[in-house]
Amino acid sequence: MPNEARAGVLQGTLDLMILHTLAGLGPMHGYSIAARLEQVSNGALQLNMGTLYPGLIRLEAKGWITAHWGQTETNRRARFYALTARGRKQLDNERAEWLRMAKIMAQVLE
Amino acid sequence: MLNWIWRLKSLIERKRNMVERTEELQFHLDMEVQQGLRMGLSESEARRRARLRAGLLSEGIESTHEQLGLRWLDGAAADLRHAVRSLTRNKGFGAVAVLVLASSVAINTLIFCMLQGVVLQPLPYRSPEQLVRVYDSGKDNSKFAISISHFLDFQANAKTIESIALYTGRDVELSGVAGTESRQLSGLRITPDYFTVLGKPLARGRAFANDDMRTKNRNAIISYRLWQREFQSDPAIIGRTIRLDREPWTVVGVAPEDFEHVGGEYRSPLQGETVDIWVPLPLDLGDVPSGAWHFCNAIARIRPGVTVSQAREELTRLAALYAQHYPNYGTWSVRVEPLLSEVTGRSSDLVWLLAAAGGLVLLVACANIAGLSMARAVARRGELALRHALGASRWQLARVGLAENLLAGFGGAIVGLGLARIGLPLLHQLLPADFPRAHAIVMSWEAALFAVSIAIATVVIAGLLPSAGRTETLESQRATAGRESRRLRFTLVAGEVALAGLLCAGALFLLRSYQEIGARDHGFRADGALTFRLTLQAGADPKQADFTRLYDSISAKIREIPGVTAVGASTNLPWSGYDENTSFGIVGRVEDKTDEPGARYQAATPGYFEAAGMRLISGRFFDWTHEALGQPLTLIVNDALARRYFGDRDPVGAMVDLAGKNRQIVGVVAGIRDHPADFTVKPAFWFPATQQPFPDIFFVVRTRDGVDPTGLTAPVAAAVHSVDPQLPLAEVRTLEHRAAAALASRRFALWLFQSFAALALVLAAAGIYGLLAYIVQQRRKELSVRMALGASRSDLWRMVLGDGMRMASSGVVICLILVPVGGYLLRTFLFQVRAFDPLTIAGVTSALLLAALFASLGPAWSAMRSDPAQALREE
Repeated sequence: MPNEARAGVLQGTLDLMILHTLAGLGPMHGYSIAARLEQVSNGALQLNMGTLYPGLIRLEAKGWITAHWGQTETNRRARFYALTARGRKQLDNERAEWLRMAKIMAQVLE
Repeated sequence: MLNWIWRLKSLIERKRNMVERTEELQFHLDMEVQQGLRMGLSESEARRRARLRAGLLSEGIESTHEQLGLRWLDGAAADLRHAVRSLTRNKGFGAVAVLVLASSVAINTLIFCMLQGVVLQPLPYRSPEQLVRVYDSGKDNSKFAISISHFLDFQANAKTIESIALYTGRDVELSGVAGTESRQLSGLRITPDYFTVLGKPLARGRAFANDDMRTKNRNAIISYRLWQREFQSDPAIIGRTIRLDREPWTVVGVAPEDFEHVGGEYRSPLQGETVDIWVPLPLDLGDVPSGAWHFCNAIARIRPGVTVSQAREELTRLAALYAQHYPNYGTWSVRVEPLLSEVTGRSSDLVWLLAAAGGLVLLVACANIAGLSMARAVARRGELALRHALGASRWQLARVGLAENLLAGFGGAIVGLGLARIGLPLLHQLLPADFPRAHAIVMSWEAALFAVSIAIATVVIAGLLPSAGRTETLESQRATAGRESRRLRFTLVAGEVALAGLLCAGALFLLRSYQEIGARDHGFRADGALTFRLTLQAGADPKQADFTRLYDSISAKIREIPGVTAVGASTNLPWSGYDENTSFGIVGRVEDKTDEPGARYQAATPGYFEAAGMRLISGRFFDWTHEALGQPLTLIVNDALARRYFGDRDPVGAMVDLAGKNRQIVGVVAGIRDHPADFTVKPAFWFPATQQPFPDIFFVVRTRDGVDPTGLTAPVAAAVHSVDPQLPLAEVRTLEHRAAAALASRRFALWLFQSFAALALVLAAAGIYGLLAYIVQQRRKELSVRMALGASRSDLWRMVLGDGMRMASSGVVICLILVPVGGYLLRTFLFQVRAFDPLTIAGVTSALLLAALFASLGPAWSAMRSDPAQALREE
């Protein structure tokens, strides 16, 4: 699989990506989170269920996102995830930290 | 934190959670498929693409469960279900394991309750570790009642102690409030700081002041309980007048609720809620030199930061200084001991001993359950091999057995706790009446926790022990399988036998000691006598003659009762631990001042020696004519005093100087020990109570053979009341009952040891039976072959019995090596029984071998009856 090699890097940043996606687009179900991430990465990120859902559980357990059952446009029952206030704070902190680190990395590697 | 709450919630909603998670994943897959279809792929191509992109459903489920922390639980739940199924199928194993465990858990929980209540729990006073008892210490008695002058000296000069108080028992008669009968109260004379030392402020009113410490003072402090029961919690109790010993007294204080007296050696009620009333201890002894009077207990609080040994050092120094200044009062040193060890004393040794014995029982139970678990494991060899082949790890296999044991462990803990709960009131009945802090022995949540922990620890150890033998169980159906585990089980059984033997030896040691004590010449006759205590009242200013008249008329009235052969009174009864001493001189002999003769002093009325069934060695007993008031002063001594101070000479006729007055020895009686197990009789004498009266006195009424003394209770009370209608009779009980009470703690230890030993013996026998039955089952093929080859049935019988005996005899050998160690640990409870007591050793050996023989009969029988043809056909 092409994204296997990148999975290691993704592991730590998956949380951040999920939180960011939910912050931008509001409540979403798991599939659309995966689809969205694939889309914005131009197909570079393909998350299988075994990676995505344990990540969602982790975030839920930390209280950063909540989940509830709702209906999709096609009237199917699906579990929707939404950002909590704590989750938003966490996102802001993580995001700032990530950007700072990325800048430093870029400077070092140039 | 949040994390954990969330996880716990998901654990609780586990079922729903699992369903929903699966639905969510299914939704994800469906969406992928639809996406494929939208892209124009065929149905099967779309599914293939979805699996490729999203992964397998089962993998998704697996990883979400892992994240939820449910996987471990899935395994545990499965194990538990398996264990429940397997235990219900094998009710025998389950029931035996639970029963074995429950009985030993119950025993150990009860012992834990005792240990906690008696030894571990702090005494109910402020900073109890700073409390000490202070004794005077002399050459004959290292813990003697403290003299008042020492007390005054320490109170004024000791820097290491914060406060000190004296106390001594003084029972009083409380006249009936509002027409009720008067009753005897357990009372205590105290000095002002008694409550201060203990750090227990009064509930109401005030403590005694120094001004109260006078003979004529009539102030009293009553217990909270007395205030509630007798005075209906009267809010105006302070200042109220009550009648004590038929005189008006004023209540100045009410003791704190649940207040426990500290107990003491000298005329003191036991530790606990044993005191009803406190009155001042007069310190104005007038012309009596207070240095010579030793009748008080002392309790002191040492200053914070000061150690007991520092306090001991200072008081010893002060006492030495005092002895220099006042050489007339003898050379007394002091002894300072922490309160807790003084209260628990020998009982704490007993409790620890019982704890050790209980631990042995638990060990036997553990070995027993280990044997059972191994038998289970071997019986399940096929099943385990199959699971192993299907990929179960060794840990998973071990877990199955462990889950089974844990289940049995919880069962054992719960049943055991129930048994302990039932056993606790029984234990209280068995406990000697004077057992310190018996009231603190209660079931606590710590005890429950203890029960569960030992049960679980036992089954876990028992479950892990056989894992050494389990490896081979995986190697399926070898004909000779199980040798390894058989050896381990053999060792376990031999160990059980050895431990059971050790407990039997302990029980036999105690039994032999008990018998030895019972078989001795006690110097009195316990059976056929009724006893009771009176505190005679003879008005505000009693004369000697008043008391003498009371003794005489009460005795005369009782003697008129049909069936009574003798009646008399004394200051104390046999085996009461009475310990009051005085020095005396022998007229015509120059005494070494540092080695003055001393003896227990007691007083008795005429008739007492006959009533107590004491034996006259020479001279005569007291009688109403010779010992009448105004007659020459007389004395009766015991044989120990005669031997010690008169050697071979008959002391009858000799004159003794007692407190400045000469008395003639008129009789010698056989001695009575202070306690039944004492090795020697202490020198003692009695002077006639008729010549030197004591208001507080015990009466003994001897009945004719065949007349039950308890049947005379009512007529005796009537006789006393015909002399003084108000006088309450206290502690009415037979002399036999009192004698038994003196042996109660030995009987208690003996009884417990016997039941422990019996239980351990049964467990060991069950262990032997289990292993033999298993071996016979295992070797059926071999036995059949042997039979086919011509072995007779009796050969097989002998073979199995021989196996049983081999196990037992290895156990016996180990046991006999351990017995002297056990005897050494028991030494303080033994009486004239040596650690190598041949009777005990013979008894233990035969008990163990008999138990083994008994246990082997069943398996031997089934081996003999096995049908060779059938056994061979089964293969």
